[in-house]
Amino acid sequence: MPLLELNNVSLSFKDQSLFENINLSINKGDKLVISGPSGTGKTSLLKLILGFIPGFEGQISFQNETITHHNIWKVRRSIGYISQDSDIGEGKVGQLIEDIFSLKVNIKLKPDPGKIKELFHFFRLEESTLAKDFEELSGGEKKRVAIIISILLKRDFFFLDEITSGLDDEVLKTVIGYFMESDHTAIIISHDKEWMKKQGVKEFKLN
Amino acid sequence: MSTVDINTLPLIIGFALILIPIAFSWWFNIGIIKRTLIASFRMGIQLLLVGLFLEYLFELNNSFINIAWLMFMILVASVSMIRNSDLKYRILLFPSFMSLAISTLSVVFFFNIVILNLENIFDAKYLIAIGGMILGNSLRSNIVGVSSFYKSIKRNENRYHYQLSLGATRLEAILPFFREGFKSAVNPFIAGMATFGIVSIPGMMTGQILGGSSPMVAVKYQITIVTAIFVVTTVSVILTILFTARSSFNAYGVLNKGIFKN
Ligand SMILES: Nc1ncnc2c1ncn2[C@@H]1O[C@H](COP(=O)(O)OP(=O)(O)OP(=O)(O)O)[C@@H](O)[C@H]1O
Ligand SMILES: [Mg+2]
Repeated sequence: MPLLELNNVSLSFKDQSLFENINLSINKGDKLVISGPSGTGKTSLLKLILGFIPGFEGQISFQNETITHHNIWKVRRSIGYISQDSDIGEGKVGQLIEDIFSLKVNIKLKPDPGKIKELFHFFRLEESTLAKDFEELSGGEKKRVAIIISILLKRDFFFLDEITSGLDDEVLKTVIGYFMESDHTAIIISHDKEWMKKQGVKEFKLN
Repeated sequence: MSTVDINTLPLIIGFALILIPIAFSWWFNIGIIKRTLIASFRMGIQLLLVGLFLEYLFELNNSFINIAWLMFMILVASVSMIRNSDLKYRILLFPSFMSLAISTLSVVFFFNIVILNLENIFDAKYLIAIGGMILGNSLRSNIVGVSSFYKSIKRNENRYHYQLSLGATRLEAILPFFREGFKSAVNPFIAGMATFGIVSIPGMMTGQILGGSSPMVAVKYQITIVTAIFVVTTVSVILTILFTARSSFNAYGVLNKGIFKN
C-alpha cells in the first residue's frame, strides 16, 4: 500500500494552469526526484500536499486516507519539510532549535546537546553557529541548519526542496548520502544530477 | 465655579487661526491646502453637531439611549479601525465590533461601579464621556496591533508555513506573530505613559481643571483612566485577533488572503 498517492491532481492560479492530472504513488522507502524548469510548479506541488495551497483539484491520500482538514495536521507531523525559501525563523540558532522542540508535539523529541553538536560536525558547521543569529547565516549554512532540524525531528518522510543549492561539493555529497543511504522516504526537488546517481531513485518530470 | 464660555466672535477668531498653517502651506507650496480646509471644516461642523446632540442627550439622560449611543460609538470605532487597516469589512467588522464592545463596556462599568461607586451607572456624563475617552484612545493601538499581526503573517508566509510543517497547532503557529502585533500595539502607549503630566498634560486633565476640579482630583481620574485605556487596549487587541482568526484562516490553518483589500 502506497504511503502517499496523488490522483488527477491539477492546480491553477487565476485561470493560469500550472499542472494537470498528476498521478503519483510513493511507497515507503522510495526516493523520488522531481525535476523540471523553473516556474513549472514543483514547489507548489509540495505545498499543496502539505495543505498550504487551497483550491486544487483531484485527490491526495496519505496512508490510504484522503487528506482533509482533519488529518492534515497528522500528515504535517509525519513529514520533514525543508522549504526552498530558507527564511524559516529568527533569533539565535540555538534558540530557534529550542523553540521548535517546545512545540507540544515535539517536546518528547527534545535532543540532547551532544546529538546537536554531532550533527553540526557531520554537516561541517562550526559549533559557534549555534550562538549566531539565524538571519545572519549564509544561504548554505541556513540550509544545513534546516536539514539538521528535520533530522532531529526524527521524521522518516522528507520533502526536500532544493536543499543542495548553495552547498559546496563535499557537503553536497554528505547531504545526498545522508538521505539516500537510509530507508527514509523522500521527495526531492533538485536540478542536481548527483541525486540521480544513486541506486533505485525514481524521477518525475514536470513541464 | 464653572468654565468661561467662548462667545461666537472669539470662536470664529480662534477657528480662523487655521489660516496660519494654510498660509505656510501656500508659501512653501506644500499642496495640502484643500485637504486642510476640508478636514478642518469637517472637524468644526462635526463637533458642533455632536455638541448639540450631546447637550440634548445629557439633558435627557435616559439609560437606554446612553447605552445605545455608546454602542454606536463602538460601531463607528470598529469601522474606522478596519478602514485604516488594509483589511476587508465583510470578514472583520463583526468580530472587531464584538471585541471592542466587550472590552470597553466591561471596563467602563467596572470604572463606574467599583471606582466611582456611581448611583446611576448609566449616567450620560460618565458612560459616554468616559466610554468615548477610553474607546478613542485604545482605537489607534488596536488598529496597529491587528494590522501588524495580519501583515506580518502575510509577509512571513514561509515562516508561518514552516511552523505548521513542524507540527505546530494553529495557536502555536500564530503565537510569534501575535506577540509582535501585541508589542507594536502597546509599545507607543507604554512610552507615552511615562511622559504623562510632565511633557504632556492629557486632554482629560485639562478639561477637568477648566471645569473647576482641583488638579489632584483631575490627576486621580487621569491615573485610573489611563490604566483603563491600557487595559482596554490589551484586551481588545487580544480579542480582535482571536475573534477574527476564526474567519481569517481556513480549516488547514492557512491565512485567507481574501481578507486583505487589494
Ligand atoms: N500563491 C500563489 N499565487 C499565485 N501564483 C503563484 C502562487 N504560488 C506560486 N505561484 C506561481 O506558480 C508558478 C510556479 O511556482 P513554483 O514555486 O511552484 O515553481 P517551481 O517549479 O518550484 O520553480 P523553481 O524551480 O524556480 O523553484 C510561478 O509562476 C509562481 O509565480
Ligand atoms: Mg521551487
